Amino acid sequence: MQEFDSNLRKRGMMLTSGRAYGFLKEFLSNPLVAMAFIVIVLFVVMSAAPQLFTPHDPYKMEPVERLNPPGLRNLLGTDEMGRDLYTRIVYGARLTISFSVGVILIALTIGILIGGISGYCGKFIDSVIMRSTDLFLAFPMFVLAMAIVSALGRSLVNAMFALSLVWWAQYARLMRGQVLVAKQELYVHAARATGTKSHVILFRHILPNCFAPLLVKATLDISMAILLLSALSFIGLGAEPPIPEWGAIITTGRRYLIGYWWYPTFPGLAIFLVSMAFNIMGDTLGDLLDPRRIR
Amino acid sequence: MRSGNQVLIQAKNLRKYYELRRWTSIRSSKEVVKAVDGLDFCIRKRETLGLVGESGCGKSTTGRLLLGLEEPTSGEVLFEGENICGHSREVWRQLRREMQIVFQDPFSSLNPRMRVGSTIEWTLKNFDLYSKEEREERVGRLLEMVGLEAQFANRYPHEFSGGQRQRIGIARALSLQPKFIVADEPVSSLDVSIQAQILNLLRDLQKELGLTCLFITHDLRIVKQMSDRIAVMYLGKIVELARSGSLYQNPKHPYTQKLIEAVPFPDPEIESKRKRVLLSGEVPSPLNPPSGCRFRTRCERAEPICSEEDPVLRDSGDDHSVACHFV
Repeated sequence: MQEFDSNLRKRGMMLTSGRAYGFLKEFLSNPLVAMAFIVIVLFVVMSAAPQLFTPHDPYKMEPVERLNPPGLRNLLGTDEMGRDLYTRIVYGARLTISFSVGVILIALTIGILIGGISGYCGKFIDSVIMRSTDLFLAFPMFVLAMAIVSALGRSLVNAMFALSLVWWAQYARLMRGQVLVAKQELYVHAARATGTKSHVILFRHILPNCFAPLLVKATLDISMAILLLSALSFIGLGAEPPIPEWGAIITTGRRYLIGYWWYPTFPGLAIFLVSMAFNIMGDTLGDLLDPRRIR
Repeated sequence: MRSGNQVLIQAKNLRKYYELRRWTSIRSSKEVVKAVDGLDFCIRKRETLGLVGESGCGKSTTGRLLLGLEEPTSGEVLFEGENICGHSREVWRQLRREMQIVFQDPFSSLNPRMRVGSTIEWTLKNFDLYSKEEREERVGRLLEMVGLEAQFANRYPHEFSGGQRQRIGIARALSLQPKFIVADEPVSSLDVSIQAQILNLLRDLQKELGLTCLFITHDLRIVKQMSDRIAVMYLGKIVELARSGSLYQNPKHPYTQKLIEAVPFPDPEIESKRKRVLLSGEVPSPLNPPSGCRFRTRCERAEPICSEEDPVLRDSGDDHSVACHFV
């Protein structure tokens, strides 16, 4: 061990045990990113344990307290049924965040599989798959999602599936391109020349070098998914009224905008905050996933 | 350097054509690029054969054909007397233990997400050689053999310079203790000062390990010090093949003569007095090579026969073969 110079040892540590820590430290050195990170952590904790954040029940109606302005009793005011808005937003975080992350995860999984197969196999399979992704990409995403939800029936779960169904094609495209590029890399030829088996080449050399742009896009897309999911709820194709999904709250709240400004404003602000935070994270992730940054 | 004249690897009438599809209007037309067009040569055990030529003349393709990284259109490659073309994937995989390659570009030949140690270790793992501890020890020794430190195994490729990476590439190629190595322009993307180091390393290792080597380059100065024999390629064919001393002192093919003339002389006084007639024109497109002798369009000695008949590579005595009608 004495032979190791301190620099090398430091690097070695960063690479093994302390790698995640070093990663996080670098990540948070930018105040904007740190803020985005805090917002996301806050909302994730909120969706994990909403009862820690509020004493109220999101569904309990108190007609006497209806449309209270923000104050000490109701931090962000109440809605037309006298339900506490802050509580509803806290409980809504779980729905909004988990369902929009769900949209992206499903789309990402389908996209990686299909795009990966397409890029790796090439030739006929590639053409067939790519033409069908073209079909999905050619259609306006939101309109297609609307059509699918209305066919399946109104619910948040259906909205999630509909969105991932129109979304996977983008990831498939990206993944295919990545695989095509990685396949031509010299280190893949080198691996083949040293007798590496095909599955090892695929899983060790090609795939690890494909994921970075997909993860960045996925993180950026989470904010988009939050917006679209809320939009689906807003036009009445997502969550049904008593459910405190943010988009759904805005839908009913918009009628009260004049006179009771807080009602649609605060859930809107929540959407804005979370999607902004995911956007910033996505941008930063792009820089951090560059292999040259691993130190 | 030659111990006996046993042939290790031999190419017999080796050809590689690439088909290009061009979409002109509705119909597609096929065009054929003759990257390698009928090569006959052999490499003897423990010998280095230098392969020189301008870019695009098929040097790299030749190397890749010998290693089975490309399937030849026709012809045979004999390795230790046995035809190795057209084997199944698994047979080829086993053959990789005998023959390896060092690539030109050290920056893209290493996986950026793999530590260099595991890059090298994987070549051993591919054939289930040794235990894990033994493999790690071997990786360390290989790194030391190419002039690096054993601890570097834990680093990622981006932490190394081009020369160091090329050393890693060499270590990877040597890890399986192959008999035959193709060095595909191993130094042409390195600084001149580093080039010498890598070349010396390659030479020393070759002597030490008794390797047979195909050294591909476009740099005539390098090939002279590296090889026992030199083959000069032009548009997919070998035009001259001779021992390196006799090729330099007595080049017979007009193309070789021009090439050697084009190398600058280290002494500026002699250099300024030298009269040189340099090659004019460009290499013709391999899509549409000239009829007969391919060099005739740039050759000052060209006569009608050159466009009619393709000269064959003939031994003109003393291990010196030339493909020219006038030799």
